[in-house]
Amino acid sequence: MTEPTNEAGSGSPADPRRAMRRLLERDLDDVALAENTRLVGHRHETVQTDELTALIVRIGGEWLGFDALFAGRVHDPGVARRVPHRHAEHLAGIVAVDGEIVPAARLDRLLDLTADAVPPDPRLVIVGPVDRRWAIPVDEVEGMVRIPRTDVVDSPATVAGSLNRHTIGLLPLGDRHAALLDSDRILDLLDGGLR
Amino acid sequence: MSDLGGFSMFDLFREEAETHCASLEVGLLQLESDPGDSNVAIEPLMRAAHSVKGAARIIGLDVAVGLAHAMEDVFVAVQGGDEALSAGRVDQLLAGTDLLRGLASIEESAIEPWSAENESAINALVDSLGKPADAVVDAAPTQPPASGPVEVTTSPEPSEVAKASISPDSPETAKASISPDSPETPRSSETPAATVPDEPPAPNAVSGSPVEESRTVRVDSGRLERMMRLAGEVMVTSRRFLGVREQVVGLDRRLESMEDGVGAAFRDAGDPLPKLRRDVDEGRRAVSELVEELDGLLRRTEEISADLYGQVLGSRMRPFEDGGHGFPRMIRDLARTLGKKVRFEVRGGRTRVDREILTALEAPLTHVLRNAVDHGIEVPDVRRSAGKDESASLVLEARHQGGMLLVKVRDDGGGIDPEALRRRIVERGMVDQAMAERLDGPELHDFLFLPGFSTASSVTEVSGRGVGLDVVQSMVHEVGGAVRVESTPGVGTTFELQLPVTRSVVRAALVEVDGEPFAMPLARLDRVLRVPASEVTTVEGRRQFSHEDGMIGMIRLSTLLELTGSEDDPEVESVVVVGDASGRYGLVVDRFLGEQDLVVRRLDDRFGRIPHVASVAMLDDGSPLFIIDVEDVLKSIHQLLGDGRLRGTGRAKTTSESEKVTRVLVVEDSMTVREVERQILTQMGLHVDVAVDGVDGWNALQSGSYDLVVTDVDMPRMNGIEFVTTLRADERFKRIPVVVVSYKDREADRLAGMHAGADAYLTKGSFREGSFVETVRDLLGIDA
Repeated sequence: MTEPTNEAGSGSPADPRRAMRRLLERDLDDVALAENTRLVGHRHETVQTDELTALIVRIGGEWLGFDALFAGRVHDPGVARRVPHRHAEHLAGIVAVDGEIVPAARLDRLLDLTADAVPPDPRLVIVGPVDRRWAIPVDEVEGMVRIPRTDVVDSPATVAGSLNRHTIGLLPLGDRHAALLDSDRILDLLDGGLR
Repeated sequence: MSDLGGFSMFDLFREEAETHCASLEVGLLQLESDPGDSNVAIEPLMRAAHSVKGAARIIGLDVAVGLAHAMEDVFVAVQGGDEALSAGRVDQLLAGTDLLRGLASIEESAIEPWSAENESAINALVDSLGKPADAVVDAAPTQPPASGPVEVTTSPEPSEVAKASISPDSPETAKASISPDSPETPRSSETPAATVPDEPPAPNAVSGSPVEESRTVRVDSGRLERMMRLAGEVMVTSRRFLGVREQVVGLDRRLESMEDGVGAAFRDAGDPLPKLRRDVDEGRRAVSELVEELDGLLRRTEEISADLYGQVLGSRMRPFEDGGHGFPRMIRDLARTLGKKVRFEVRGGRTRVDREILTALEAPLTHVLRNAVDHGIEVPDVRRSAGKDESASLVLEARHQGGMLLVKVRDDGGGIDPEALRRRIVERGMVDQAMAERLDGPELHDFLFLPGFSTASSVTEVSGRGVGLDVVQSMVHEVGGAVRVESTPGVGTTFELQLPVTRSVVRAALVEVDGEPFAMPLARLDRVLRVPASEVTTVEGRRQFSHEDGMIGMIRLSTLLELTGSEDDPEVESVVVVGDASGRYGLVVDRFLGEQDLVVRRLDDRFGRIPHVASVAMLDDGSPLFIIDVEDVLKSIHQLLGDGRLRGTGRAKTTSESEKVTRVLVVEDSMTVREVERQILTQMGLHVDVAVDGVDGWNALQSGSYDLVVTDVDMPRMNGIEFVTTLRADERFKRIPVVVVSYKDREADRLAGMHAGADAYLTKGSFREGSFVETVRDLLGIDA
């Protein structure tokens, strides 16, 4: 047989698709089931272990960390168009990313961040769940870091101004720290400026 | 049950049965209304029944085999001339079709309960189909088990995919046709044979894809949406090749100058450098070839991506006749039940309509058509004595007009009696006698669209379905359309639904305001003009220019949009002329950028409603822009001009108000009610501004400070509940007292109003009772 046909009942064993189906849809014996259960349970535990992945970016003179679960993608900067009748200071406008049109936020204004002399390498960081996406222009993206949650410094006392209120803690990055942002709070504040 | 290439056998049966049931129904109805050459017409029906039988046999659905077989036998008898197709017989055959269709619409797991439930009905039907034709009593039709696909919720997980396979017409999914042939290929439902495969599928052919599958597939609408977005992205990305090409060409130029340099050096030195020269030559040739190849690729990519884009967009468009397959059947059954004779006709069936609109149209049209048969069309006796043809004419017509889709439902029935309607309005306590007498034409007909309003003297089984014309209106409003009624007593009634052809693509003029591009749908623009400053005159602080037959007042678009805009008056103003029945205006923009087809995107819900903005879109370079809602802009202009807030293109500041006036905003779409409210409030010494719907009201709120808001509930664009909710959500308006005045007097409506944040909920009868005045006094703290 050169080609698998769809004739009724012609389930040739050579048909790789059928073989695959048989493999995937076979009944599990108790041992396999127990093993699978254990594996699924185990993986779950791994997720629970306290490690944090964060995207480190710079806005103005401040290094910030977004929880990677919250901030997924980084894009080239796009044109932001101002929104008529909407005057929230942090609303930069709307931008198009991957064929989607999302609001863009100026975190420097929301968090009172000061400008920095370091020349920017601007990028757009896309944050938020699918129905609450925001594009946040940043001056530099350093990359992802994985840090045990226990290493997150609790006191954000050294963090200045209103950034303080939106920070969960400080992420140690060698000789400096990045402020780990409170994703939910930031998102609520951003969304609040849309109406 | 065994499976085939990922499809269960039942799925295949389902696909097949659905298609054949549709052919059966169309064919039966046609045969009944026009027997013509019944030998030819019966052929496809026979094959359809035969195919269903074959498909059912394969999966061992004996009930369906028996039924389809009995139906086939009848068709054979008719074709052989042994029997003539009577109306009673057609009823039976339609009932059989319904049963088969019902079976095809359930989940595989529900077959057994379904069979048990319907067994006796099927057996009875098979029995009577088996009886000779003359035994068939020409009775009223047996109640069909269900019209259209039966919604079955046996699936324990309400996953979207599962739902999609059960009820293909649910809003989550939509029928879309990815047609291998051009979308223009006519496919008429008037020739039922066209939907039946040429060869009756032999039982073993069922295992392959049914023939229909290659013509029409169902695609999840969300997936189609994503495909469209990606197709757009492909197009934008392909244009980036242009940049690469430019770079390569630049490289070639550099090589060219290098070559010149080498040539010069060669001459100067007199030293032959043949190898170097050859190398450079070769390099340039290679680059030229590359550029050529790149050009070819570029052209091809652009063509393909534009085509892909067009195809994906086109897949949203369906011929009008694709919607409402159930209409002929519904009308036939209804007319038979009511003892009326109706000739139903669909005109403009090929008119292409966005499937979103088509889906949205189904329910309102069903209602309007039922309404026409039930209330509009008279029984044959009455028609005869009125000198009309016994059979009434009911026409459903679709066509494009002025960039809109116009759908008309026209009957030649008794029409709407204005006196009866006035009486009814007064009876219901909606307005008093004096006001009712002043109501005329459209104002009067507007009452038909109020919830629970019916002029039918008795609630028949047909009309008493809890769906009123108010639902029709709100459904049409939802997709951005409008509905009107025209009626002449004794002559007939026409319902006219005006809808956008698509909500997907709009041809727009691009303008720049304050450095930002904006799109204005061309269909809504009168003219685009460049007006020299010397032609602009100023009257009472308002700038205007003369054009054709009159003066056109100028308003800066930037002012309306609350953008800064250019404050200079340039040598030549760029003006977009827009207008409606009440006037034309010149919107001043900074400059024109051109014209473009834009794919309309929904604005992120989180923005709520932004005044003057209809939606968003993306330009060719992938940057976003807003599409202006011209209708809304016009409303704002009326508002602003009426209040004198827009003197001098919006830049002149209003003088400070020294006297304290209590200002009331009345938001109401009925002119009559609006006028009554305005009069009452003015008599109370209040300053009254009016707005015609929620959006209008919302815009008015932005520019005036009000002490009280009075609003209706049922209004186009933004209804009263949305309006009050929006108002309450805004810090600035939180504390303004709001009175809702509505015809809706059920407790649930009152609760909805209060829940939204209204301070009082009154019915329109309250004008007479004086409770309106009392409530306003209370809320404003005025002594009686």
